[in-house]
Amino acid sequence: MPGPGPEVAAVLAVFLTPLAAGLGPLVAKTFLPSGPGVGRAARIATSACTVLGLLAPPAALVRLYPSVAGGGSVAFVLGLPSPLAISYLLDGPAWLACALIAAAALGAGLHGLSAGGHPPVFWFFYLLAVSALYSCVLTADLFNLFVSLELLALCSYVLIAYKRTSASLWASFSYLVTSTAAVVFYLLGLYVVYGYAGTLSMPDAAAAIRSLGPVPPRDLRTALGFLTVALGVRSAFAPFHAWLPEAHAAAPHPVSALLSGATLAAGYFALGRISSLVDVPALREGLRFAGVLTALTGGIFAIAQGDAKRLLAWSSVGHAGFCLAAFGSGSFAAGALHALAHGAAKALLFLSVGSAADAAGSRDLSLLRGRAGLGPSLGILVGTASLAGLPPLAGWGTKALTLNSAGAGVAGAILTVASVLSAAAVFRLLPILGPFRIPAGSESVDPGGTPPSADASGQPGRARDAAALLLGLLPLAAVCVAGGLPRVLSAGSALASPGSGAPGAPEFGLAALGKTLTTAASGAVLAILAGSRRGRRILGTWERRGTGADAALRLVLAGAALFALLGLP
Amino acid sequence: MSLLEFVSRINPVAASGAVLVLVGVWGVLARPNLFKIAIATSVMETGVNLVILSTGYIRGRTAPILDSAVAGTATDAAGAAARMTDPVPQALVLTAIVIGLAVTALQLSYAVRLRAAGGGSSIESYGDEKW
Repeated sequence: MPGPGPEVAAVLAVFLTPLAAGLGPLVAKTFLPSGPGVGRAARIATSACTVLGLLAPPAALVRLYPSVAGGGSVAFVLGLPSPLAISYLLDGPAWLACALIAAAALGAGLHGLSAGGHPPVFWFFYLLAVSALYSCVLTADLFNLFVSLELLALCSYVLIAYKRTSASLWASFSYLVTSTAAVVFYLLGLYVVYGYAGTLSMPDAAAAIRSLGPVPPRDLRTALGFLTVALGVRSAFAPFHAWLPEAHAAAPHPVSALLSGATLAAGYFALGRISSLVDVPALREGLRFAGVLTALTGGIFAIAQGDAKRLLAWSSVGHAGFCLAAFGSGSFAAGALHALAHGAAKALLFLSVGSAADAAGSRDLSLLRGRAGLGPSLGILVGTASLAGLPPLAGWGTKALTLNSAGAGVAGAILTVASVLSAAAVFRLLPILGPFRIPAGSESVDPGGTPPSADASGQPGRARDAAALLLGLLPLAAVCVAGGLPRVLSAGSALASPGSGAPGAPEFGLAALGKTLTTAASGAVLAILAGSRRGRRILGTWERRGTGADAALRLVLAGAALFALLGLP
Repeated sequence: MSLLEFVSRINPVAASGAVLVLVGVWGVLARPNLFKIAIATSVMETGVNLVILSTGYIRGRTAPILDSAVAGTATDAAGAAARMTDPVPQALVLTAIVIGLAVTALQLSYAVRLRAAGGGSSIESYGDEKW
């Protein structure tokens, strides 16, 4: 290993700058006068540090692109000599995941900063979570992955419950219990892998396990199942999804955007890295089944929701299922690209819907009708179109890729139904679209109309705020639009599958267009039916089913037993 | 293999860890009280820590501290290392304990806040919060 070159320094900068910048808000809170009314200096220092910590990683990533394009990678170790060191690996998929994290974190961060109302400590936890996210996808060390996951989880618990309402505390508690139970299984799996391989570095452990023979020992296959459980809770596929809808709905908007946009995708990429350790065909088949099931469950529950943010959260579950189904069918790249497209669109939607919900003082879809301003409306339009898989946007190509990779059998048919459902669910958001002008009357109502939990220090200059909100939405909308370009899509799939053949670009012919339009049209019809009074009455009965903490725990433990059993045959 | 032989082969550290994990799983599933759930997860984590520690637990070896008492009889570092238990699991468990402490503290503080906000201590009294 040569000394730390510029590439290594750039990779370090990706996950260490947010961490370092996170100290800024803490110092500002401690040493500068803060609180409502005063604390202008603290606010400026916090904003400056946050923006710096969020802008540095994308800059480093741009610098690193030539190193990973064409199947290259940057690998290095930190700390002690090789067998004990913590190894990091930036390859094509990791670069893509970092790019998504950068876009989601920047968009959500700028949006949250311009909306105001979050104290410095919030931004400290936010930057810490962003740093942990980068670390999750960059690390190639099993134990470091555990530490990153736990750091990310701890920050998420705090951020979700930041408003300290009883609902958000409860959502955070049930996430905490679920995730802690799952992490126990991760440690058990790690113990078995370490026992066999004698190392925690993933590439070295994979090599050591391969040298054990063509068929890995049974313990190791079970261990992989255990490792998958913990990552399953992060990437939220059935049966590990039950904590997500409440948690993502109760969180502050930037946190929802970061969690739904980046965390699910980070879990998916980490899963891809973990599964290179041991090849377990039965487990892969199980994941495919779980993915199809998740896509269907997510779609059905999303369409039944009356709460805009909970609808988005359930739709995230559904899309996690699409990614996992592609992964289980052997096409990691297709799932990865869909995770990226979904992440960008979902972060955009959470921010836009969040703005509208703040303006309306409610998250109820029926009360949100026409409450989005110009910026949020554009965001909702782009995000919805991308998630529904409409042509010029990112979701179009990646959804076609995942459906292609799942094949034509029963799984393919169920996924097609699920894609209609997921399109219908996001179409239910369209009535939020505002009257594309700012009515003079509603503007003066806004500050009083916001819920009492919102911060009282509303700043003057609402036009400037609107521009700043738009600035937060732009990076995400740009990803959604750019991801639809055939050139970007093929570059992405080349990055996502270094070495092996990229998933063939989907044929964008007339037949594919017809299929897309049929899906969208049936989705629209379903959305109208589901939004009608009778539809609401029928769907409302299962709106909140199966999302309590006890249900989530039982599902996780049952799922863990199931995944362990998959390794046995 | 006789029963006595079987018992003598069991690694006591791993076995007690496994028992603790099972107790923790039972507690998490069967106890509705938020505080007891927090304690059960903590017990579960302790069990896993013991299981991990058991990979480094080898009978007849010393603690992994390389000093003159260990190195004295051995001729080289490798010989001394062969007389010690594996230090890596101990380092891992140390980290896991610290993280587990943070998680348990947060969990208990949430339970306290939920109680203080007027909810009960039972898991069944939640889940239909109005947003």
